[in-house]
Amino acid sequence: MLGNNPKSTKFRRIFVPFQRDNDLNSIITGRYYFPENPELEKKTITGIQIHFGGDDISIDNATILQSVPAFNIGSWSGISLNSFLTLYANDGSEKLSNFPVYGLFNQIPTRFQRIAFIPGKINIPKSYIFFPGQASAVTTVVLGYSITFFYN
Amino acid sequence: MKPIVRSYLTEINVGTTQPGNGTNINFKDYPQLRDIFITGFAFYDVNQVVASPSGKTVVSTLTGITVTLLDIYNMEMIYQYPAFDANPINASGFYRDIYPFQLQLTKSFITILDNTAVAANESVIINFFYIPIKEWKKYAAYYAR
Repeated sequence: MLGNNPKSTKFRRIFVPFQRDNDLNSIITGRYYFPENPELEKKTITGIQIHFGGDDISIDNATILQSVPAFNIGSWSGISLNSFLTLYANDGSEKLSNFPVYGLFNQIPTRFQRIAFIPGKINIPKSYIFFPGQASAVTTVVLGYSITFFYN
Repeated sequence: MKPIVRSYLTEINVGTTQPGNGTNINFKDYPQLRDIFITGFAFYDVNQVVASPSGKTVVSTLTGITVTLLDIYNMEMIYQYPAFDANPINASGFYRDIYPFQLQLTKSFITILDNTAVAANESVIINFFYIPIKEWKKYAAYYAR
């Protein structure tokens, strides 16, 4: 664990796919809601981490998760610099409101550490990633974010 | 750096003309940030966030910008704090912790000491970490003196 994050013993990853425009060069502006995950909603979340992810069969997801999350490299940066995370608590209130996704990549060299928040339950299907403007997606690999929730 | 209870990203747009040196620009009213204890804050420039949630271009650098935060008694609890220092990328990824006080956001402001890096219609974005007053008792132990 980095920083003072509460310890967790388990994690679960969800995939939030993005929609791209016709020429596949940019991600369409808007909100991308998280898929429902009833199991995760019962858990007390202690931390969160984001990786780039995709379903390009030429590169398996393990490779993507290991090699790509280092931030600010080439075409990847345009996506993470343009996106925000909003998380809702189970009581319907905003827990994180437009948190810059930039800070949620764990392997940004020497600069960022995984952020954490006080343990709590998250309303998964109400939470979303927001792109206020068109983000470049010149790579064929980035099709969404893999969001890892750490929980106990 | 304490764990985050809640966070809210605010935005100050400098307006349609480039602000002059020494200009103070107040925060707007955000209902979510009324009746809260502020526990920390972070600034970002265009190297972390390209566009604000409202689609405005984010300032290219925080050099020359300071922030002043008032409490509900009109005390300047944070006075002319350099925004550059509050960017996590300049502090190994940590945001700035402060001892919590009841924030009065609408009287708080940023000051453009040097407008070199601020162009018209750009935005300064500030992330506030906070605890609503109604939840304060739950977390007060984290901040016991």
